[in-house]
Amino acid sequence: MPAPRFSILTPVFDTPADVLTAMLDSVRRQRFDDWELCLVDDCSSEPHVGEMLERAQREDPRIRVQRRESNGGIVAASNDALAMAGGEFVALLDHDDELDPRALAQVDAAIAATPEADYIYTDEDKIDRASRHSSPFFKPDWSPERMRTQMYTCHLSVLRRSLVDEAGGFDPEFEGSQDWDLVLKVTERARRVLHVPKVLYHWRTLESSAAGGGEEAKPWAFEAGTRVIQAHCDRIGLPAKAERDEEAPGVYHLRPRLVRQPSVSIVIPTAGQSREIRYEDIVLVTHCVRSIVQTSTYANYEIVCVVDSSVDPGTRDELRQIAGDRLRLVDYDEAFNFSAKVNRGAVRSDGEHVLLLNDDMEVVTPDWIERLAMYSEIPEVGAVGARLLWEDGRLQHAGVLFENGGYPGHIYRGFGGEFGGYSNNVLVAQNYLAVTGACLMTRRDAFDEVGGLSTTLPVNYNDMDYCLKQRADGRRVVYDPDTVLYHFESSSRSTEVEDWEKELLLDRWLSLTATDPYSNPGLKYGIPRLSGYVRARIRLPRLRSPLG
Amino acid sequence: MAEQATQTRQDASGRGSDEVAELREELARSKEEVLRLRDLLIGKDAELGTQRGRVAELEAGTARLLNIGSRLRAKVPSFVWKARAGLRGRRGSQD
Repeated sequence: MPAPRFSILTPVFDTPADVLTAMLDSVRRQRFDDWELCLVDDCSSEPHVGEMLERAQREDPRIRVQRRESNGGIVAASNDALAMAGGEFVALLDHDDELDPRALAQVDAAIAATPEADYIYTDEDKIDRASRHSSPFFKPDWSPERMRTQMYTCHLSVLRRSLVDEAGGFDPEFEGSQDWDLVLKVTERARRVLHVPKVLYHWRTLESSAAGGGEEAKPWAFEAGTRVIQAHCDRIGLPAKAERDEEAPGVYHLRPRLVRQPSVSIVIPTAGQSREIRYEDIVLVTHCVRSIVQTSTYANYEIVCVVDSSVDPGTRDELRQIAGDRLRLVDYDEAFNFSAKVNRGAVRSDGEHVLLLNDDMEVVTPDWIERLAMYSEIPEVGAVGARLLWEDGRLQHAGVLFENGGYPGHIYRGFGGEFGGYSNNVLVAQNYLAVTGACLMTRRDAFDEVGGLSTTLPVNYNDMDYCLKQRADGRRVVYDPDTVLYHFESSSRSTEVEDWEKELLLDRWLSLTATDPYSNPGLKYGIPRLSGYVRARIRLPRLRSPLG
Repeated sequence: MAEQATQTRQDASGRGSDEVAELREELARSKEEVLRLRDLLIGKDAELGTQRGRVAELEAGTARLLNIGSRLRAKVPSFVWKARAGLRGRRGSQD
């Protein structure tokens, strides 16, 4: 018998009869035929399990069953299922979940379009015992940074068998988070990762499952997650310590453990303006520089203030007093051009990393420079942004999405500062096409390579354009949720953008921004659009023929 | 990393500090110009890419329309064919 395209791996243990039937039916109903189902009964104590599996095997030769003599747990049973598998790809299906009838057909079509795909994942939702659907998870395309802080790809995961073997199969050291570990190991080797943006997997919410019981149901799984990320960071040489979020289950954080301290030049363009902040009239740039000096724990940085010639000597003296030897003042006496000011500061600085910072900022996170540098040091990363809050604590920036025909917009702008986002996407690190230039770190070589900020965009969109240039050059843009700053941009500030600026952005980047890979057809600026999902889930009653 | 507050009167090549500062400034200006030109090149390249994409899109649309046109032509008899058929019919009825 020739090897099938897909081997579905399903360890089984004491599955309720109705749930097991639904799982088996969902596989048998696949519109794509070239599969085998590798079932391993992990020594179930319920007699109906063995009987049902035997019957299923008798009825369909593509269903293969093995019974373990002793209960070995999920990893041992999964490895047994893997040993049975002969397919080119392995698909992971839990014993109490269901596949959408289109699942394997859609995955096969995606692989046919991109034959070098080594890992494919789809969107998913949850179903209860009565098979009622809820909580669809519309995912972004492949986001390596997010995968290090959240197992977001989860179900359905399909992996190339040869890479699974290279990775050594399921690792018993990470029992409970063995899937996450395996996916990370495979993606470290993968040529391409594909996302099929359709809900093709239904995760059942039983009290005993992680989908239903959360962290309380399987606390060891969440603990294993920390070790999975740590092992991954150690393998790829990312200098970070993995930590679990105590409040948000499934969310993890990376704490920088830099082995060297690269030099950082913080470039702040300023006109020396004042504004009322917390009922006090302050000069923005001096407040910003003071907060950097007083809050930062990093040692190896300089501050380059690009000051308009109109800035009074008193402000300059105050800056020197606050920052001392760290400060470099660069004069700018031409017509306003934000990009030109940033470029001027950047070429007159020496840091290995350039940190663009607006003058209306206040640092909150003490190790903010370490955090940004941790990501910026990754060669495949071109820009890193932060979580920014307005003075009143609401979200100003948590990443940028290009929707509405390729125009950028800040996700969750104006939402409460504690808002975790859709599927915790405000709390986890992730990739975007762009982040705001109000606080953006970039490596100097990457900055030089793309020509810095575009002076053809003197006011708006120069940061978007910069990030897209990085993207076009093959680098990722990262949002780090744990780097927090206040941005005293007035929330009522006019964000009016000139038509020519919009046209220029589209003329340059529509090919990249027309379909934002970090959004999803089921979302609009990070908010689920449920109409399509609900339509797909409605089952019309079957009409009986009057003829019987 | 701070800028040297004091500079020696003369550097190794015997240039005065003013001259060194001037050269540094000129170098910085050149670097700014390099950035500007590089951005211009990348920008134009990106614009070209977008336009190429639009052309490809239009070509695909045109090909689709041509295809529909040819299929319609294949189904709908031409004027000459209809005229001939009409004539044949008339002759047939005369015979």
